[in-house]
Amino acid sequence: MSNLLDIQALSLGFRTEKGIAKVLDRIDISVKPGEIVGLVGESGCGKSTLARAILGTLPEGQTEINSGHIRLDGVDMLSGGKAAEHLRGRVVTFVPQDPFASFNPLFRIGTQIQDLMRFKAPRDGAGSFGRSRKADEASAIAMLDAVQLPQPKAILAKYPHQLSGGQRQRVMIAMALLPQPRMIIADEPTTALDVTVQAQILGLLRRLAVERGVSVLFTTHDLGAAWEICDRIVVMYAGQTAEIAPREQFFGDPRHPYTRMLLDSLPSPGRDPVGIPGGVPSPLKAPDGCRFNPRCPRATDICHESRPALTTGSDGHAVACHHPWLAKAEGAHV
Amino acid sequence: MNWLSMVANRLLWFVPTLVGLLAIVFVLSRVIPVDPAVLAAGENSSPEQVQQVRERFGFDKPLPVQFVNYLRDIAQGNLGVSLFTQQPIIDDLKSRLPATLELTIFAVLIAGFIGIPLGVLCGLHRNSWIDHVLRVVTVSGLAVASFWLAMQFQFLFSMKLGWLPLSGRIEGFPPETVTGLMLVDAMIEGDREMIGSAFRHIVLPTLTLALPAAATVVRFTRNGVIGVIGSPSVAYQTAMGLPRRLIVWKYVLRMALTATVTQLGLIFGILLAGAVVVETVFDWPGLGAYAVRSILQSDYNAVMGFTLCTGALFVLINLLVDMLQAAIDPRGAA
Repeated sequence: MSNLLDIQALSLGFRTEKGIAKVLDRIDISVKPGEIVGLVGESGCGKSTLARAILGTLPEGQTEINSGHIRLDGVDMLSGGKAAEHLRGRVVTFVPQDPFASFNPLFRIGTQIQDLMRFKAPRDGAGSFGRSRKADEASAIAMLDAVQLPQPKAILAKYPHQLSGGQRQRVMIAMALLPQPRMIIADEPTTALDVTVQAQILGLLRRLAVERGVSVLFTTHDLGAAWEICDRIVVMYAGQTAEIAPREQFFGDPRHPYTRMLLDSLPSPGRDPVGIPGGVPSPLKAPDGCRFNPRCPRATDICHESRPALTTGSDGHAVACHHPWLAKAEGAHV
Repeated sequence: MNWLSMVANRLLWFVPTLVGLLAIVFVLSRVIPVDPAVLAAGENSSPEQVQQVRERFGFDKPLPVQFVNYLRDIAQGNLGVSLFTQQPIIDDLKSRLPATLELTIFAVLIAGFIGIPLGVLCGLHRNSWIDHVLRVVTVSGLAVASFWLAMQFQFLFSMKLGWLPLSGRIEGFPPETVTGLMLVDAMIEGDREMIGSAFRHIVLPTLTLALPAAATVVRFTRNGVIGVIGSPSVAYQTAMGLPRRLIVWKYVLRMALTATVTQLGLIFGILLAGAVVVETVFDWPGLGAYAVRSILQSDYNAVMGFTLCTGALFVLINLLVDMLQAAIDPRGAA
């Protein structure tokens, strides 16, 4: 099956007063139709930048794209042309991190949904005059119902500040689904929510995506959240792809030293969590070679000199490391 | 809290604010180093005559009693008699208020029509050449003394080019007074020549008055747009591929205008202060010219009447601004 989203060797940086911050360094990621992929990494690893690059919301005039491409359904999303513009909001939609700040506070939920549908939702049947407020309202209500919001009609008349955090994120998911997209970019969609609500929202997102065959690219720093909903997990470190593994192998058989240390930093019964010493390097002064080498217990000279290539094994498990843990070398990890 | 209860709340506060204003005006009138009885009796009157006047107007009673009497007079619409014309001051104010309102209303409209689009333009193209040019223009617009601007306008458009009349409100017979606004009354009468004359007369005074106000509107709108354009709600709508013109002219503009609308009260204050100068230069028979004349003639009752009238107007305008603000921003009704 060909990829829906195809990112190859993407490098980009931001111009700052102190020089160029190399935020993404030859990133390779692909997402197949219907697949739910988690993009995992610490704050500042570049996962949100990657989401913004696809969505076309990188800071204008400060961004430098050095190499690579992003193709979504065959269209170059970095070109900024009409074709990419057409895809956004139709083929690829967005669930933001902060659902409160992402609504305009001065307009009713219904108005904001209606404007989205007017420009982005597919027309049903009745030709060019088929777009009626009534029909739009009916499908909006049906979608709010699908995201399990009680009294969907009343929600349309409300302002964003009159809803709870969980309700707002449910509306966001409904808005992401209304244009009937093939892919949803969800950028830390549960970070701003209460822990009890997080699991509900993640479950809802996964169920609706699977039902409708929509791909999801889901960024998170929360490995538990990734475990909840992802088919495949991509680990990013300081703008580089460290490891790409199917969900089971990611948790059961991690091969990159960074992934192992990430998992060890999780609390689990009978074992104290172990932090990773040191900090994420500044993108202004990223180390040569593998960017993880200053914190890596397995690092040798070669790690300082050359960047390890992302190599994919026969099991579809890819790792970019000169000294990876071998498959099942020490038995199951968790 | 809903909009209606907000308005009721503000209306309730309107009364104490007005009483406070009256108290200030009253104290001012009693602390100025002039004996009002001497003023009223005339410069060449005998001490007996002054004493008679003092008793007649109650200036010999204790201050609190005088204040209560003053409040009672005001409540009955009695602002005293002009020492110069011997006319009731309330009649003078009534006949002159419409002329000032006409100037300020048109000035506010012009300031809005010029200032808002330019402010949006500056905000969208921050630090571009157009932003720099307009910054210089608006700072100069605020710095320029309005009497100087008024005279430059008169010199250029009336004396050099002869396009517009030097001063006054209209030539020939004025229209029947309906609203008191000359231009509007002329339109009601439907006489083309009359409308043209009223229009030509109002152009220069309103422009003089409007330009500093427009400069303020530009700056507030610009800052409002800059504050909003980088917000997550705009990023969300951009990511969803909504057309730029919809995002800017519907969503961003409304957000930016909440900042501008809050400043309308301030702008109106600028206009009232400006009216004093502009009406004098253009011989416009409004409150400002009346105030200047009254001060020059030491017509102390009239000055107090003017102070009270503009003060009340200012309080009233701020009440309207609060109501408008609450209508625009559903969150602000607190």
